[in-house]
Amino acid sequence: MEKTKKVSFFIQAIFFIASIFTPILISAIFPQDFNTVSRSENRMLAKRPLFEVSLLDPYPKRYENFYNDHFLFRSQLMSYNSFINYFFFHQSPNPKMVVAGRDGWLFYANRERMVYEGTKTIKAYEVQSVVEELHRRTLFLKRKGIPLYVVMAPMKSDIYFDFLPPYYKRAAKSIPEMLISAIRKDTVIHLIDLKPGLVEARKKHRIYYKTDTHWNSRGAFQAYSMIMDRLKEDFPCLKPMTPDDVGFEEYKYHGLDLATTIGLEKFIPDTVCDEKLKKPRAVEGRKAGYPPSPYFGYPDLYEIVMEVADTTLPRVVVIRDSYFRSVIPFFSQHFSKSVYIFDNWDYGANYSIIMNEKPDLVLLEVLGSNSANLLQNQTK
Amino acid sequence: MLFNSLIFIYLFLPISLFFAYIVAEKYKNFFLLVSSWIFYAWGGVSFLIVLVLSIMINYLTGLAINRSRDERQRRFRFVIGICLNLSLLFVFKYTNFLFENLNLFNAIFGWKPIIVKTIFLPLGISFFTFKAISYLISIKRREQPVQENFTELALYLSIFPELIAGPIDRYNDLAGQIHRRIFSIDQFASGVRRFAMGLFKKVIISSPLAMVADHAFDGWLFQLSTPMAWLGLFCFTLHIYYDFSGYTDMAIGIGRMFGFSFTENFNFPYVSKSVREFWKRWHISLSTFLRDYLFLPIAYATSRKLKKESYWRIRVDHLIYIYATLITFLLCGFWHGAAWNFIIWGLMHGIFLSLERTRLGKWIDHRSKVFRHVYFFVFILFSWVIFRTSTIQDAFNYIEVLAGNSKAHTDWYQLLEYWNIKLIGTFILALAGTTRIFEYIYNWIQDGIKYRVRLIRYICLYSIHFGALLFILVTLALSTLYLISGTSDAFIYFRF
Repeated sequence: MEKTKKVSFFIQAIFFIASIFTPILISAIFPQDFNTVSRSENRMLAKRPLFEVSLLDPYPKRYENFYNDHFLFRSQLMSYNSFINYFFFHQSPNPKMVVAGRDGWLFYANRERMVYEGTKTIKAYEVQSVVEELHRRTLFLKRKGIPLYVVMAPMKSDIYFDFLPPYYKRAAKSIPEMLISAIRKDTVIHLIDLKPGLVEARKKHRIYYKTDTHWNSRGAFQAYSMIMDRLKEDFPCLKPMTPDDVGFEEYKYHGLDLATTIGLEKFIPDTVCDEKLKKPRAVEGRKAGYPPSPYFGYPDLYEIVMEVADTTLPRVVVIRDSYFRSVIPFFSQHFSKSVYIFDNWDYGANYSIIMNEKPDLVLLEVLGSNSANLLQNQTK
Repeated sequence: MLFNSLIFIYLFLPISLFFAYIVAEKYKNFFLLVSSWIFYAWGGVSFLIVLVLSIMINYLTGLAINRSRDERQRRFRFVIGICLNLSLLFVFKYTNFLFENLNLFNAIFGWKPIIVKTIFLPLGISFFTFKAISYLISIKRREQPVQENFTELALYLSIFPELIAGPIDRYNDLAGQIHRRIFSIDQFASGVRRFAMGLFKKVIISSPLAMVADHAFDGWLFQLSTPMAWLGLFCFTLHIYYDFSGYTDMAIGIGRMFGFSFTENFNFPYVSKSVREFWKRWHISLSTFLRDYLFLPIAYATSRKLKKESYWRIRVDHLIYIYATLITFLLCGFWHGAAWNFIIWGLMHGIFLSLERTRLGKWIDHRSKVFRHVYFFVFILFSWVIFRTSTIQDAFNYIEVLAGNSKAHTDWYQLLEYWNIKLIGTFILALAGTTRIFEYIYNWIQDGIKYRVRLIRYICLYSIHFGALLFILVTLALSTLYLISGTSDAFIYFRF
């Protein structure tokens, strides 16, 4: 018995030592590439900090960040952790960023949840301030002969609220609802609220992805149709496409942005919906090369230019966020030149770009949960 | 540096263990001291200056006490040493609190506020200051010879497993081990098992409970429903125990790997039937320190001054007990943090300890076991509300929500965010772990080893040894998964 005990203790000690020494030994034998991006976390991994005597205090923290980011098999281990949490415990592995709703639907948590539940809100004077800002921009552009249209895109949780987790509580009045009702009272601003149309459209088709923050091509087409219906009142030359002009192709694919955020894109598939235009006319045009904000994570998407070889058609500038991306293929068909600016969710006035492009109309597309950003980019 | 961090488990610990076993006997303490200082500097390199200053003060004071001409000078030098230690603690821990309250006072009279730059709290200052005091007391009372070896004293005050959050080992208990310690595979393996147990408690049990407690206590009170407030409170009650006892287990385990035998700090505190019993089971190294170095001296000093048998028809020994208890626990609360809620928390414990000394206590002692458990549990739950909230106002607001005065009081749905199979499992395991149930199971299997049937004997023997190995490996693997995903938090007692 005593011998068994001795052997057992020896084995316990050896296994423990082997376990804690393994990462050091493997890292020493197989050095890693430290300049990598974590796709699931949507960020660059920490770089090895330089040791400087004048910066001693922050050094340990920076080194630890670097060590954690480059820990052996980090991404695989994170993925295993996510797998266990999601499939065994039916829990989001990162509930601060993504929540697991009913029937496999994922929702962006963070700011979107705060806006939906009303824990992030704005005061009445701030609502007024946003309305005044949009009013000012509309008048400024109107004096130049350019109408401005404000498009409010709803959050996924506003449309598919019945798939939200049961503990979600809807705010009495969320930020976008407060803004929309205030903007409606202003007779100058042209507002296009996409929510009612999308709520109707979901009865016929699925218009948002299960594992992505955004709408799919069907949802984008619905948004396009609503925008065009409003624009053609002022621009009768615009002839919107009907559903007969577009085909949609659906196929199984791996999970999209929300599934990637929790590291489970390979394990939670989604149905991707691609559009097929029957008579596409727009082609990619030459970019003017407007400089993006240095803090913008997707500089390649800052400026997109599409052109149609018909100079009789109007020109448009669209200040947008990621939601308009899938509307671009439809929308661009009706303009001789369409310039899309993704300005780091600032939704700024971008007057210099507008003056340079001399468009016939300007569209400002804002996602509901980001609408409070308009407070930060006031033109005086 | 946190014990529950990847860098500690997979970089710091292996390297320091390697040196602890590879270097010659005479350099072992030096290397352990260097490791301890690196460990400490990881939380803020500048704070190391404070630790080194404390070591130098106590090294020189110890020598000065030892070289005193007579008892009077000895006492004087001892008092100076204690004052210097307490001043260091006061400056770094209580200055901000003092000026915040002075400015409140100034505001009442319309005087100008005193602007003082925020002083950051060096990690573990409360712990190493108490260890320093225990060293000086030991020298003053001639319980141990003065430490003339600077490295050995520095190592006593800054040995990394217990540097940040205890246990507060007395100098008398560690002096011999610092000078010479025995390394054995049995002790190392028992250290590994204890470390794994601590890691399991902290990462697997405590961290998921902390998420729920944080949601309840740090969220917006007006949105908190009564059921969620209760769940948050139960989770915090378990969380603080598993967090702190998990840390202690890891500290004791690491200590054993390095050849030390640290004092125990917990003995199933939630099975207590009274506040008195609780303090014999919770943070034992602190409660015995306060008993020996604060409560008893106050009680002796007071008893010498009170000459009558009773005052206001209360027996003098009861009066002394109440007086010494209230002062001790007031300071105990203040030691936990420079905030009014900690002071109230300490006083609350002091008052209940005093009440338990009166007829009410005797009445409670004569009630059934269930009644006494319920009494204690209700007390401890409410005392944790005061401990966890940041202000007294928040504590009262939280208690109001617990009592059903919540705008969202009917909202059971809030529970669904956390009340899932993972939390239920963790909660049941955590509850069971507060009792001796696992100890009984272990002893039962241990008894099986002596059973006559050979098959049963072997099953019991191998299930204990392989069970331990499996537990170590699974805990390490699961903890690594949790730590990589950033789902474990800092220890509560780090901020004290």
